[in-house]
Amino acid sequence: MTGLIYKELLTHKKQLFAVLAVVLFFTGWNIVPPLTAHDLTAQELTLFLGLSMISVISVGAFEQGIFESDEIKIWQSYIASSPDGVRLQIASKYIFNAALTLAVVFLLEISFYISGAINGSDVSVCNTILILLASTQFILRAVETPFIVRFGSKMGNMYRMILISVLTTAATMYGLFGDLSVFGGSFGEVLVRFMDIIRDKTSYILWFYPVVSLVLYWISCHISYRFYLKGGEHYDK
Amino acid sequence: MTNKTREIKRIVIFLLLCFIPPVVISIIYGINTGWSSENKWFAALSNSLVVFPALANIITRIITREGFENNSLDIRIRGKQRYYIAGLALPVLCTLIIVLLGYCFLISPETRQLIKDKTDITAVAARILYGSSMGLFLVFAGLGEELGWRGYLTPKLEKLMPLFPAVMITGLLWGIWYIPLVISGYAFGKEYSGYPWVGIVLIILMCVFTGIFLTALTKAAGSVLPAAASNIAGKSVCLSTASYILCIESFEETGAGGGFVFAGVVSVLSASAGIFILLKNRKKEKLSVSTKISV
Repeated sequence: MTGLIYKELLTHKKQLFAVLAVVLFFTGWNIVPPLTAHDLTAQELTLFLGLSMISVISVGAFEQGIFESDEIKIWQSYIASSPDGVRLQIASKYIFNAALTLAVVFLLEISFYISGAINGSDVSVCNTILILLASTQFILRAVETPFIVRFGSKMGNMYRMILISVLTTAATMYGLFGDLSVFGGSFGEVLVRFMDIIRDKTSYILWFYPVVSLVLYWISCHISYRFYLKGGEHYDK
Repeated sequence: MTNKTREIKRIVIFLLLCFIPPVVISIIYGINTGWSSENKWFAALSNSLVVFPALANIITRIITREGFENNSLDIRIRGKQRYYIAGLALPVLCTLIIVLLGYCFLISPETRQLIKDKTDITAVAARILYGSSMGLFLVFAGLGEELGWRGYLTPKLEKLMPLFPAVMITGLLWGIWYIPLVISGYAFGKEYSGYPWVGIVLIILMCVFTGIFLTALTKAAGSVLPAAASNIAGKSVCLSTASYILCIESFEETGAGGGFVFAGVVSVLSASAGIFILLKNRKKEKLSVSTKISV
């Protein structure tokens, strides 16, 4: 397994450097104090969260393409013939993606603490939102990866876009006909309201979210084990 | 150079790299802030120092040209899930026992009534699960410590002495490493009688006994990952969740009693679980050796 993960590092070296550069840039930007306010204002919170979202999203974009490099029939035959090869192949990809996300979480958390120390803000809410962002990444990977493994990157991405279109349509319908009072006000005011929900000790639904994301990620890995060999029918080469 | 001399040299280099930067940083912090845990830099300090043991591991391997084999980073989970689960479950068990003892002995009758009125079991379960999941989400923070102590120092000491003294010495050094933070109020605050010496003794005891459990996990799983997850889960779950359930802002409110309960429960449970895992592992190893010999 270590060898397969090392292979991922070497294969995606250039993309990893690019992602690392983006993450380090925004992590460094986090540390530069935006204002001298003593408590996080909505604008500061928006800035911190926006920057960390960009870092997490850029890592997520990289993680989506991790299966594409091994979509070769010869490689699939080779790995399937080795003992436990399919499980190791899939598990190495999942672990690599998870490790990347968690490394970014760790870096951003340190940057939040340093930033909070510089301008005297309480950053515990930022850390909680960061964990929720990382959990969302795990859920996104958990949902889309079995599609990619089963149908190959091209068709898997197509099915993923269909799913996103369905969700976007549903969100649009809700936006047209649903209750939007909770979204009233500026983006900063919505975030402050969201921050209050997180601070509320009885909002335990959000506390379950990271656990659910990890469980879904694990289930997704096991689903992908079963789909891997069938996915080879869709490889071009 | 003999093997023993070489290992001693590596251990000395590791300890210098592990101790000097954090001690220097902590002393600078202490002089500038009066060893305050209220200072805005304290959180940044306590969360950043954890990377130094891992850095010391990496730099020592580079300096001594040891290479990166036997790095205790086996990421295969299959067949070892029970050690990850044990690592995440022990902090939960510690929390529940701390809450029970705190409820019985540490808080006022008014607070007990408040707990009865306000406790929401679902919210408590959610917080415990959230804290445990932090063991996995923040595993890199745990790796910062465990790669150094259990991943490098303990195996090196095992080459010079039996396992038990090696674990004790690692725990002792780990506890000493925490002294600057304890002086600043980490874990026990500053409002207890006997500050800071009682806190120092408690943290050393906790590190020694917790080290037994973390070493047991590392040896059984062949990897520091379960220990890293357990380390962070313990820090995320134990104190904060226990304080939440007991309706107190922090364990400092309970005075020195809270510190003793916390340290005692964690130490006893960790040591017991660690010794159990080590003995079971040793029995399994003896069985597999005798099976190989008979074949």
